[in-house]
Amino acid sequence: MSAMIDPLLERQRKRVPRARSSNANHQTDLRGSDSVATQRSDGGGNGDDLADEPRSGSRQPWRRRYRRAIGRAILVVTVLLIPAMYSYAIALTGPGSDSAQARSVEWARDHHLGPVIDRFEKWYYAKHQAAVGGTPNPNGLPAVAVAVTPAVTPVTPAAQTAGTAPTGTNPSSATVPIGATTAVQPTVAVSVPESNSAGAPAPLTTPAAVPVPGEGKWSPLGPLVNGHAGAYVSAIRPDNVYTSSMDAVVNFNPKYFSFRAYPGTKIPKPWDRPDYVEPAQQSALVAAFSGGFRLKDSGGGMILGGAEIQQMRNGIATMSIDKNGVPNVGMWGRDMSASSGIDSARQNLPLIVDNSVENPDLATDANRKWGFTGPKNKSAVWRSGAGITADGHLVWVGGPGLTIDSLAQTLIRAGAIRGMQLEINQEWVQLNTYSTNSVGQTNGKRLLPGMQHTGNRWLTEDTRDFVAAFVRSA
Amino acid sequence: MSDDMRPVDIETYRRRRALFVAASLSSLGVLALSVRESVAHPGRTSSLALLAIGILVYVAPFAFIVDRAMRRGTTRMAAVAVVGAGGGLFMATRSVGSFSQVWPVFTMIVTVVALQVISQFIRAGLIPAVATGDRR
Repeated sequence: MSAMIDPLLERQRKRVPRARSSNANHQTDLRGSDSVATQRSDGGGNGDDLADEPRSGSRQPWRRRYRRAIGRAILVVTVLLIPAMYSYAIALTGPGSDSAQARSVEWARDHHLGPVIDRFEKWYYAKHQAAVGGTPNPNGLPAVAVAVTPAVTPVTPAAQTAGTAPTGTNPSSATVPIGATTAVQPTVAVSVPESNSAGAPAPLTTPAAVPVPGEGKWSPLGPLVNGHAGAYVSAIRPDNVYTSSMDAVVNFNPKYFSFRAYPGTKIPKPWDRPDYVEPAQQSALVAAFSGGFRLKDSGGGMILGGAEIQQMRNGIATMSIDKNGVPNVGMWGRDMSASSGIDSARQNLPLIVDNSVENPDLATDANRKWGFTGPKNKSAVWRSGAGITADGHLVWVGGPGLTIDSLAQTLIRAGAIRGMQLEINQEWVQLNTYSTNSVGQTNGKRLLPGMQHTGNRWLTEDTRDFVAAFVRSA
Repeated sequence: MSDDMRPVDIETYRRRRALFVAASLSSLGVLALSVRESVAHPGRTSSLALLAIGILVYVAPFAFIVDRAMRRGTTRMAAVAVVGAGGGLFMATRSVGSFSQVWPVFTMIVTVVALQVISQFIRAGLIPAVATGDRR
């Protein structure tokens, strides 16, 4: 082999000056083959043992050293990145049903990349706004879980606090006939099967110029309690611009449903309850919705089971739930305080509705008080909010195509005298409804098909805190 | 068998043994991870899918790398055993969670880095040379 290659090399050397790089590479290749042959015949050695061979300048060793240095640098960087990769892997494989995208963003925020994420989200929201004009997609309308069992066991707030299973049921007053519930909510193309039954709130007035059939009308949600619906759900457009978006509005009556806040794995401990609805309570579970921004980004604090998990701040919008499971939404320090028998309180940004009018700061939001979604928070994206009506009903609003203004306006339209924003982003806006079948298995359903998490979210541990509604005992 | 052939046979034997150790230890890790992941939880990955992913992104690449390193003499049987056992043990002890396919990928990255570090030690002469294969 060596004998065959040598004449070839000689011919090439005569033809081409040694310093030419392109042909020098070719020379190198041939020499490389030669050196292998040399090594074999010598029984060892390496490719650098070519002292008797003319070299193509100093390029070859330089290149080799360069490559080796690059390789070592990559190795060192990789070794240094291993702790970060491990941390990221832990974040990706943690409990809950969050998507990889959401986990990545959360992990970045936890590692001082919040400003970068904010800017990315602002750009993303600007590029992924709701469509202007058009009509709603019938497949995107609210739907609730279908209940099939004849009865459920109501939950008393005391039983929840004690963490024990509810005992006994009074058939005359507390047994709830679920079979009579409404299964499906208003449709656009088809007339509403049932709406505005006795006790339902007044129909919502759509902001769209041309209403679609069923828009703004209420249908019962969840089991009937002693013949009364404890909650009603409706669908309504956010405004007259993003008319292809249809948002859900739910009106809960605390006379029939009790409420309880739960932590998520991201909420600091101590907790007096698990980060999921306890199996013993699931048969009475009607609905659950996500609590609010990450606690560190909420601008406020949290109380859970009477313990202050993060310091509460006066003037911040708060959803509180007292020890009887009755909710309230208002300004901390003005409408509620820690000394009023509160079981839980969750703060999230300033109020967006106060005294039945929109917070005037929403018009400018120069300080980006309610998120970082486009200029002055005007990007039409997925949002959710909660409010309290004059008669103490809890109103939840959520869905696509909502600006901070249209969220406030929808809350006002639904009768809220005070209201707060809960979440932004399709990943986080969620309300599930639940029903328990004849064998005692509880199943959940997303209220809107566009919601990202499973309908069974919150039956097992999850990252974000949430509020659950239960059938109230007599 | 002639004496000329004997060293090659020993090298082949060592390489195959290292390959077997690497493949079996990493497979055990992937298997254990798949079994642990079969418990019901949110975001659960199918055990079969996880097994396939583990083989594709960890077991097979690990085996290829070990085979190449043994041919080049840039690793040792003991190193393969330690790295393989470490990786397998690491995966077998991961807690149940979503996106568990991340762990074979992560283990593979750490394995590559570990084998690279070992090869640098061998090149620097910090680990005594052993005739483990031809050095083309």
